[in-house]
Amino acid sequence: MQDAEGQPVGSPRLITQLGPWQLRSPILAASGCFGYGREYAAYLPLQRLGGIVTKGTSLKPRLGDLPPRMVETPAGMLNAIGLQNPGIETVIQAELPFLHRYGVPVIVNLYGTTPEEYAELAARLDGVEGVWGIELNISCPNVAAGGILFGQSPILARQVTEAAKRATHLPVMVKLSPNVTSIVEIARAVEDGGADLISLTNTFRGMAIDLHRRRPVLGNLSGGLSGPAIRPLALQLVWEVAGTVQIPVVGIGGIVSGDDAAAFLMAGASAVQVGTAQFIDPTACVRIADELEATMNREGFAQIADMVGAARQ
Amino acid sequence: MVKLVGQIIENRPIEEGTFEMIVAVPPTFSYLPGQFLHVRVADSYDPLLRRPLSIAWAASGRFGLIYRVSGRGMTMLSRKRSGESLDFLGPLGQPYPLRTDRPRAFLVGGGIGVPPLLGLAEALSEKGISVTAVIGAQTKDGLLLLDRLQPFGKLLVATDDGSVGFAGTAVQCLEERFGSGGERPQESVIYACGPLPMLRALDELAQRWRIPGYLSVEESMACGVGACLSCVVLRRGGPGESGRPQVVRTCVEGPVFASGELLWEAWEQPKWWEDTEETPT
Ligand SMILES: Cc1cc2nc3c(=O)[nH]c(=O)nc-3n(C[C@H](O)[C@H](O)[C@H](O)COP(=O)(O)OP(=O)(O)OC[C@H]3O[C@@H](n4cnc5c(N)ncnc54)[C@H](O)[C@@H]3O)c2cc1C
Ligand SMILES: Cc1cc2nc3c(=O)[nH]c(=O)nc-3n(C[C@H](O)[C@H](O)[C@H](O)COP(=O)(O)O)c2cc1C
Ligand code: FES
Repeated sequence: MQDAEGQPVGSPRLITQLGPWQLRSPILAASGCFGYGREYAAYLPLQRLGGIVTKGTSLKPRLGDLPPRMVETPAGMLNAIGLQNPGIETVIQAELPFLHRYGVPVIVNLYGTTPEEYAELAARLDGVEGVWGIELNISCPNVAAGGILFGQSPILARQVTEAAKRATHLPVMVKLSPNVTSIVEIARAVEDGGADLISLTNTFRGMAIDLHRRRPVLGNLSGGLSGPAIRPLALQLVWEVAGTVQIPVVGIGGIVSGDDAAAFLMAGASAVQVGTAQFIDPTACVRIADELEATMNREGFAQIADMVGAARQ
Repeated sequence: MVKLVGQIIENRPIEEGTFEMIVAVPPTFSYLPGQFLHVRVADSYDPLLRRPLSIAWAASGRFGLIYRVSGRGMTMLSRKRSGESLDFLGPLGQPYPLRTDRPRAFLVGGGIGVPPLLGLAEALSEKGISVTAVIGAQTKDGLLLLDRLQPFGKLLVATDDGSVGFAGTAVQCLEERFGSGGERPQESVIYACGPLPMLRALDELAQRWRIPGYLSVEESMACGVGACLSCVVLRRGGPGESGRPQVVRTCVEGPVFASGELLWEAWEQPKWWEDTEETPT
């Protein structure tokens, strides 16, 4: 399939209804793994993505964590980037116009240290061209203040969600942390707070130790685990949350193939995000979409919606 | 800057623990010395990530990678056979600038930092620059590619244990040459690749002697293309940039940085990242 300008847009069978959005594909690029789209534009047709979730963005610029920021682990990696970003104003002025050219749905991932900051960020994006929605990162394991703290308390998670909802007309997706005792409690709180969608999961907190230097490898000491290593853990959490809330769920965690994506859809996710897989295959989002169509053919699904929750019946 | 597949022509040990892989690519493939490839070593997802490797040299329709078989990834790479394909991204990163305004170049390599100097030595000598390679290692056995560098100019060798050549590091060797008046620093440029302590010492030397220097830095990389912010270092803020240090990516703004640019202290002092961070209020 091609659009009016002759650009490939992918098969109509991949069209996905995700809450308020109709997307060309159920495969979105996950936050922090796709920058603001520039780097990967040379490798794949951005307009074929279901959407791009940007790097976590805060009010002021952030330098991020002390290196080393990344270490490879079995079938996974730990990162402690510390939400390095140029700040919301620069993102709006210098980054988002680039993505807007491609017509790809953009969801801006936001990070704040208070509910008021989340609200200010949400309000600032209201009406910005090309922005389809926001994703509240209440789950970053690598920053001291805010972030994950909000994701670990049902009361705070709800407050942050409400604050953002009040501040913007944009659909609000809330991204959950797996580093909690009961993820369904947080999911319910976020739904009660008015979230339009829930995405999960962010990375699992982890550590690696350098035996020779006799200290943790990462500058931040601990980091967030991503990649295939977390896939079964994330899948189970998606299953739990999708069985609890009425709002659509977006599955994230270690997806590297069409079959992986299909598993998250069957567990109840309406769409998925792909993060780490891109570092290995920069065309991952498009390849996985094509593979998913092959999975649909093989397993006898006519459209994406038929797959959603198929393992729950 | 694309994802490519080349066919392995040859993959064999050239020295103890060190392999050379020669890969056939379309004749349109070109690179500049100092650039690297991000190489997939396995078809599976364990080990997960690609491995950054400098392009050691390229001729029409092929290039060479020279790598030390260290960990699991390099071991897997060393098992690939001729006829198999190699999946890589690149060429990536900023190359060494080929300075022709000064007639002499010192190419300083330590350990596994020597391979990219091979293509660089060739490119500089083709431009009529007088090349001196200064190669260091802990012992005689660690010295890499001496025979391959020889045709492009002079060779200075340093070993920590003094088993051959100058007794000491490559940087101390260069310092001694400059100090004894045997070289002409004011006509020279330094190019280097090697471990962090070597680069740091060389940066200091280059600034003290007022010699332009270009240093290739190794940081662990995930994406290799600038998207993940794993591989960053701090660059001094220049005049007009309000003097604030900037976070730069080794894979895009590097791996080659100019002498005087990098804030080495930032590798060990968290305060550089905290003090300068404008935390949201
Ligand atoms: C720009 C650049 C160019 C390089 N060029 C060469 C070259 O020409 N020849 C060569 O032998 N080596 C080179 N290296 C180092 C090479 O990437 C590592 O030796 C290799 O990644 C080790 O992989 P492994 O699985 O064998 O080791 P392991 O130690 O098992 O690797 C574990 C993880 O650490 C990372 N890692 C380990 N050592 C290094 C290192 N020195 N630098 C960056 N990441 C590392 C790996 O990529 C991997 O993610 C270069 C590195 C960079 C950044
Ligand atoms: C290098 C890196 C940076 C990340 N940065 C962010 C971020 O800024 N905001 C966020 O919400 N999640 C961030 N994440 C989490 C991912 O979006 C995703 O939730 C997680 O990596 C699990 O998915 P994966 O296994 O497909 O990577 C980051 C992950 C990685 C690996
Ligand atoms: S390795 Fe991802 S930004 Fe450099």
